[in-house]
Amino acid sequence: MSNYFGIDLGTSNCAMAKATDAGLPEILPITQVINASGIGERQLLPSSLYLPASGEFPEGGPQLPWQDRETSSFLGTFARDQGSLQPDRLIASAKSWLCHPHADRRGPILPWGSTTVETKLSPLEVSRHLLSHLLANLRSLNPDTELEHAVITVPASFDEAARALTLEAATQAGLGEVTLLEEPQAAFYAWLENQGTEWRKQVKSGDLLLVCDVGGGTADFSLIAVTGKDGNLALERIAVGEHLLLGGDNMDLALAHAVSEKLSTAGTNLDEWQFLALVQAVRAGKEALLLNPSLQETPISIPSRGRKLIASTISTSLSQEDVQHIAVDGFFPIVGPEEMPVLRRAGGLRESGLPYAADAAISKHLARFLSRAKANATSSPQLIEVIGGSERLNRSPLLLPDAVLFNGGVFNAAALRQRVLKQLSQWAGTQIRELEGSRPDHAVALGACVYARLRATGDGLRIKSGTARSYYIGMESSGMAVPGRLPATKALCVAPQGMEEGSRLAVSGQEFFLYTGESSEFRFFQSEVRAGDQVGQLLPNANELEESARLRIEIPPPTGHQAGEEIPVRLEARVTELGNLELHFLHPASSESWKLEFNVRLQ
Amino acid sequence: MNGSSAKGTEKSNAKPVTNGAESPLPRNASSPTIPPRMKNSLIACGIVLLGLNAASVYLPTQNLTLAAQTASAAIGMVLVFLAIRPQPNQEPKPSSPSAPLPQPPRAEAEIVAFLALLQQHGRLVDFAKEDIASASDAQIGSAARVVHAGCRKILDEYFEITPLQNAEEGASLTLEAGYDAPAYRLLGSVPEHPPYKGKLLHPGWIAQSVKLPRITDTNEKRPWPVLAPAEVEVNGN
Repeated sequence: MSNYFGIDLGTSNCAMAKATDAGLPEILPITQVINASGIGERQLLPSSLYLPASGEFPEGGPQLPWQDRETSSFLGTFARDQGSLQPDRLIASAKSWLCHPHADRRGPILPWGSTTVETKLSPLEVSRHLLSHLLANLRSLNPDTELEHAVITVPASFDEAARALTLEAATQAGLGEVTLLEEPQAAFYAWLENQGTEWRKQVKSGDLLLVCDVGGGTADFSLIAVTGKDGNLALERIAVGEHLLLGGDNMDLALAHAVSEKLSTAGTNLDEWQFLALVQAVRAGKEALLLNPSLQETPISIPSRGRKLIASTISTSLSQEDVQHIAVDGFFPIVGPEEMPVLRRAGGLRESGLPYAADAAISKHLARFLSRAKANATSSPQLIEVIGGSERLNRSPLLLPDAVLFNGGVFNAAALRQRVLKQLSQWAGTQIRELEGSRPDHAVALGACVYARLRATGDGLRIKSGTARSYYIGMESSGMAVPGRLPATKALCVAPQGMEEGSRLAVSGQEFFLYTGESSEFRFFQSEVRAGDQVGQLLPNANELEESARLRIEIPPPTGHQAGEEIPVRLEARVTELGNLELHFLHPASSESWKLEFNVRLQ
Repeated sequence: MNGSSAKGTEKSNAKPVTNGAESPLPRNASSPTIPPRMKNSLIACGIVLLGLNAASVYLPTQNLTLAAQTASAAIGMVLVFLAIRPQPNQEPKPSSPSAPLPQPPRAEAEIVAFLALLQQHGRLVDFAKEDIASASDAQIGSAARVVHAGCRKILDEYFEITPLQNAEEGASLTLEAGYDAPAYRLLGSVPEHPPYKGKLLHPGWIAQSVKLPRITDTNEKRPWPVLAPAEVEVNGN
């Protein structure tokens, strides 16, 4: 019997699941350091990495069975707990750095802004450490396990560069060949598996489904269209959202600040450690209040720092009103379909660091996603057909779904699921339904192993999903020089949206000139909203696109050519079987070619 | 090289270091043999329950008599566990000579490590060690919430605890000959031979699974871990 593995490489937590040929998939326990003296098993591995001071654990500290004494970092539960007390030595949310276009993702930049850590790590290394840990854990359960063809999930909002870096981290960690899967799709596969044949009772041909995934630190949206005849339904992912650093942790922080201010007005000020304890306490309080709307308030106890627990515990409460006002109305306000999120803070300067969402209103981000999805669909006759004609586009400024699948810890609270459904229903003018039977906590890892089995056996329904964006390469115009004006950079579409794994597309009938032997700059662009663009299409101005990478490289001249020569090349885009996007320059005269990966390296 | 399709080449470097008795998989209650370390977890479990019951006594809304009953039942449960424990006769043996395991940690060390978890998350040692004579019920109640939340989190994380009996408290029941004697404690006037007819006072608890952390830092200098490290706030370089 074969085993199929799925890895949820999450922003806050990682999980791992296994499926066999028969039977339900299961979450695997992950051995990790629990505290300064022990190790144990948890279903989740916090994606936190803690870099201790060299004098902190002179004898090495707690060690995992597979670790040597030289290990200079901890990850998992102990890292998260210890790191919360020493934030300067904690790497958290490394995954969000992996898709930060302006960060040096191979450079030792984490913990970001730390003044005490001497040897920092790159976002890529952190991913590698997490994956190595998961692999070692699996081997300790079963020494003969091969992780070949495991599936690793990434946010749908990850661009090609972040995806390629994830694959690179997997290779470095020794996982061998792996496949990537978008997290909202994984949640959907888990739901399909969970429903068995029943899922056809909940959706029908022509439906548009929204996967709404709000975890601890990130929000991720996708739209999946249901097509085909009744006995033979097909699924296609037609839109993905932008990377949004906004989630349940923001709610807990907002509530904790509210309680802390209330205490401060009454003359009690909390230190940092007490504030952390307060965040934990309001999280539990919020869950209790959301679960039971008739509860007016829940008491909150904040323990003292020293050993006098009873004499100095601070007693306060979290009110239902605060939770409704801050968590529900603050994060899920009912807004009009035209209300878009504020994208930048008003200040002219922003502190460097992760680009956290400036607007906490998830409803507005959802409106923006659905409005961009509409723009994307409108641009492509093919997509209009997939969503059942243009009638759906005329109804609203948003591309509205018929049903929603919820995922992520935030949606354990029924009140928040109801709020999102209410918002969507109000936009649609008709009731939007929830897909029943979701499992918000472990769905992504479970769905990933289900997908791994599906890929290996071919048995089951697959969501059709090509590249989520279209990709462009910057092209210097060949126009006449005009004094005082730089020529506009044009953008050549090299990979249209929806390119599937294992496919290749050549820019036919056109030749381009490549400078060789001297360093030159390549610019790459992408778009989530231009499904209609075809390969080879030249956009007059790249400014309307999102720049994803800029690369200065030197391409060696082919044999028989001088450095500094311009050589004619053809362009071909390939999406590998693993979903990696590559751009090839072919020089027909010498049969030489150069490959540019979008992450972006030259070979 | 192409970062995506290259096969992993360093698999042989990550040789697993395990053996059967030290499997990191959660132990399952349905397995026919109970590992020797179960004893420690059972005692530790008793400590938690006692702690929780101690805390519940101070909750203003609690009925004292009920709390006392609960506490006594918890002690009973520990006794039950201890009664069913097997003799610790099988020591784990290293599976291969190339991967020698450290000496199996001593029972005391395991218990101290678990107590340290209860202190870390539920401040149990602080709570029990503090003088409460002059504290008000409201103060104690407020502190008890910290103890309750933390100890409960630890219980939920390391044990799967379910009621031993599904019947309601106060329900009548009859124990026929051959009943699972260690799972019951008979009170009142008990005849010589079963069947025993009576009323259920407390449905009991049972740990369906136990997955305690394994300690790693014992040495000759300190045979068990510290209960709570001294905390020092360091300010910059």
